[in-house]
Amino acid sequence: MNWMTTIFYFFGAITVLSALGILFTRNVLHATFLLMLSFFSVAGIYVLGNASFIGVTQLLIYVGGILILMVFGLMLTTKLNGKALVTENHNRLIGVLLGTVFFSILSYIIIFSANFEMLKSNKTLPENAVEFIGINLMSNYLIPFEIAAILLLVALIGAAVISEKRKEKQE
Amino acid sequence: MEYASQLNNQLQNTIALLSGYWPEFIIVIGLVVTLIIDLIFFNKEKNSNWWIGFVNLVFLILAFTKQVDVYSYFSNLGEFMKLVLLFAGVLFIVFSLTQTHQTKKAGEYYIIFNGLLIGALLIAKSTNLLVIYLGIEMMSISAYVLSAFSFNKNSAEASLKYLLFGAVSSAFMLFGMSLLYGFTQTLNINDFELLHTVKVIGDLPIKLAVFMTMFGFLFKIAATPMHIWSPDVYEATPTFVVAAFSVIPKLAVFVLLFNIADKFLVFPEVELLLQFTAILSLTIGNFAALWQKNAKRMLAYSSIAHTGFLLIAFFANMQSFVFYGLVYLIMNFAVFGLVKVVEQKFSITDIEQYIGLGKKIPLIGVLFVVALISLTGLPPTAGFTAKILVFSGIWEKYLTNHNPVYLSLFVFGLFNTVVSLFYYLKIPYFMFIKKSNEVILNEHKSSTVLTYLIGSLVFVLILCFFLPNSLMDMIYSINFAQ
Amino acid sequence: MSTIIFFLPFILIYTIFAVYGERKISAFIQDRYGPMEVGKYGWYQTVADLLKLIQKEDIVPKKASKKLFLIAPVIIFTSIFCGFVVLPITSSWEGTLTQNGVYFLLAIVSLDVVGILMAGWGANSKYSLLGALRSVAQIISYEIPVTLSVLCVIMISQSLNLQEISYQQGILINAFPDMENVKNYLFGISALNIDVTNWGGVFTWNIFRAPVLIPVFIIYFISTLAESNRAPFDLPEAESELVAGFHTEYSGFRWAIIMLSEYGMMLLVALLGVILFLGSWNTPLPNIGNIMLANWTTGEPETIAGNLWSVFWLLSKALMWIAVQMWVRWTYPRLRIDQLMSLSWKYLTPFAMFLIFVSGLWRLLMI
Repeated sequence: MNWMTTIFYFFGAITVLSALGILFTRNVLHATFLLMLSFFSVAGIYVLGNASFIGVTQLLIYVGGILILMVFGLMLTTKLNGKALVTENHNRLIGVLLGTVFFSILSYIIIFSANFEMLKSNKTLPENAVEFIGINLMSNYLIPFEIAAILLLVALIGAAVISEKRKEKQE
Repeated sequence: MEYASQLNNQLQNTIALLSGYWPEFIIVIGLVVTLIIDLIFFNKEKNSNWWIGFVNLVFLILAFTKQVDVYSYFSNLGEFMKLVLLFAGVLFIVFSLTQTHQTKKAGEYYIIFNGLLIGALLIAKSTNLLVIYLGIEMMSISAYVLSAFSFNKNSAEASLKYLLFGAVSSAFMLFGMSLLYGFTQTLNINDFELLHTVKVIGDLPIKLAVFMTMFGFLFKIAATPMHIWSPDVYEATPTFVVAAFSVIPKLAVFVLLFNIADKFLVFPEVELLLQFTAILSLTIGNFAALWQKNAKRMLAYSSIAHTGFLLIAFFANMQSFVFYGLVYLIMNFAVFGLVKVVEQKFSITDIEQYIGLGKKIPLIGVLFVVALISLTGLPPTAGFTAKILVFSGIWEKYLTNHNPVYLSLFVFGLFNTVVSLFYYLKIPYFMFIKKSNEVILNEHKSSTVLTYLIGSLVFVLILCFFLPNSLMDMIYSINFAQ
Repeated sequence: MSTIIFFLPFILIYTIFAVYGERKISAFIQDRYGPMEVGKYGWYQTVADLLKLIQKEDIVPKKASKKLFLIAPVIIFTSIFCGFVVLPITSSWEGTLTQNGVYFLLAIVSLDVVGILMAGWGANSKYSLLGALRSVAQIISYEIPVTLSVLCVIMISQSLNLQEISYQQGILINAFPDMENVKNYLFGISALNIDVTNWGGVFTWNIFRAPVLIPVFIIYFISTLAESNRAPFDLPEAESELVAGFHTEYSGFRWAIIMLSEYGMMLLVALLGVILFLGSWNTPLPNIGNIMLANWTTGEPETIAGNLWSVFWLLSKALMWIAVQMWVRWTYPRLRIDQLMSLSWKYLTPFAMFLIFVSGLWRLLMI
């Protein structure tokens, strides 16, 4: 049991540290790769929590999909002049202040004042999570599922409209 | 297997639920049909606006009639407001149809508007966090895209701003929702028992979760701390889209607020937050509008102020809210339509350029005056009736529970009505009163159909002042108890 | 039981032979000699190459982004190698994460794109960058038909568990838990009422259990060729335009790792294809009457004979698959980039989507 906890903390540490790295690095490319690391370890935590389906989904969608798109976009938009793409930051003082205040409020409320002990549910996870998820998607969550499909369609069309426009201008 | 029988039950429930979704379903079919028609029959060069818009109109009217059935079955606030939203959708499409020369991506324009409408309908109907989130996202994503539909630099900037603010507020909302789900272990708001959960989890976390969720909702109605996006977006977006923006998402989210009120407003803090937001929206919206030079920007601030009024109506009673919402819809469509007419005729949107227009286009000038008077809330227009209803409602509320907050809502509302007079009447002032130095403006053709449409809307505004009974009867047919 | 113990050494050895095989096959197809000087029939040529690669200097270009450049080959190899952990090898030796096997494999393999991008970007060379961009665009595009075609199989077999899919395709079907009473029918059509559960062999392979999978199989084969950047889809490394694509600047051992992962990818898609379509570790020989060919060449699970038979069938089928991949490489000319994209988006993807629909219907109505 103990090594499971150790691995959990290991993944947790990687998640937090790489997220902090994103915050402090100014090289956008490095930030992106750190984000990948962060997503990766979150997937690890899911797998540890017996939710391997969610873990794999995390990998597939975030690391395999979104992140690759981000990196791809970065590489297409920056020129090959040897300089790294670096972000600038403004209003540093206010940003830091707001961030710290918000962080401390959230951590105080969620971590220290919430009594999660009472929430322990006695629900047991079904043996075959995939089957369970599939059946629920097609019955109880049918409407959200279909809405998500339409949402994606609309978003896709929207993205096409916006990106097509730029091409016309160039011509 | 007992699992199989359970599954059978689940499926039966789902199928039973689906019948309430007919209007949305019809719109989705319309969306897909539009997509296919646009793909097959229309090249980029062809003027597809009329055909595609017409097809959409047919589907929307079908959905509207279906919704009448659904309403007669359920007859609660959500279903009634869905009727109103569909009416707004029909208005939008009729308005857009008058623009015969509009060729820029007509297919996508209507498709994405349909997306916006579906999102709004879902929000108005549902009390499931997941559906609400998806609905809000659908509405937002459609709105981000629609606000880029002028296809110029400003429009792209506005769209990006909208997207950034919207994404942050969505993130907050999602965080809040996830906490709520974690605490209550259910996605259905009707099953929430927050007061009970407070005993288990503790006071602060639940309130935090509720606040964060509300944050996202308030963003959508452009209530004050979360209103910063709206002037830029309103200014750069095509005018009809702005008319839709200022009505459809707002009313939908207000219905959502009604639907969740008895669960979320168990905390006095949440109630106070909303009341405070109402006062802030009123004050900031009205005072900022005083300094605006662009008509669309001014109307953006005016719509922020109206969010404040709607919030007051939310606290007064449902009837006054529904009345106010309906009148607000008609007023806004009329005013934005007029702005569009002027924009089209003379390609101007600055108020100062409206100088002397009253003589050139007297009909439009008169319509403008009536619509703006209605927005201010003066007789003889429906805006006055709506405001009277809201104020009497809130006064009654004050008399029953003597809460000073209600009194201050009342006072601020009255005070701001006076303030709004100054900027609303700026347009008639420039149009009719101020002497012009004969600036020669290029005149283009504008749609006469559109002018008549707006005329009929304005007529309805006046009619509702003199004969509010039929409208009130309709509103009282809603089963408010649910 | 982890199959990594088996696969890590296997990939290394297999790659040596695969490189040799590739040369010999290309020589045979194009009527040339291939390696023949070093050792008999040039047997030692690959070993000599390997020794050369290990000894070579590990060059990092001066203006390259060093961290990314150095780490990229490792990421590419790791992500592909991770795909192997879920594959079953024999009837009693299965991979990890069994419940979500295929799903995990599809997810993790797509990560090699990150490594390729790192390599192409980090090298700070235009050839590398162009190669990387092409490669990523290609892999992402072809991932869709691959995923869809895998989904078709999942629709038919109703499981993400590769071992379960394997058991379904042979005479041992009733030995798997929860499948005690499942029957295989000829061509999967229960209406024909010809029970082939005890025939085994090719009759129970997925492409015969559900003939709808034959076009799916073709789509899978084509798009996995592109996934592993093999000809006729080897645009990312088109030597006439891009020198060597994203690994232009690599040398020595790191280059060897990249080659290793290319061959690893070939093996991976071949193994997955065999598991999904061609009966996994099941024998191709059916029982005919009293001649129990299938039983003789399968063996009982958990026995030594059973393990040996199944690993033999699995690997020989996979290696045959790789041989076909090589055959294709040396037969067909390279595609143009726009042809490549339109093949994926306009033909393979819509067809695969349609086939998913058909597979669902097949599952509902036929089996």
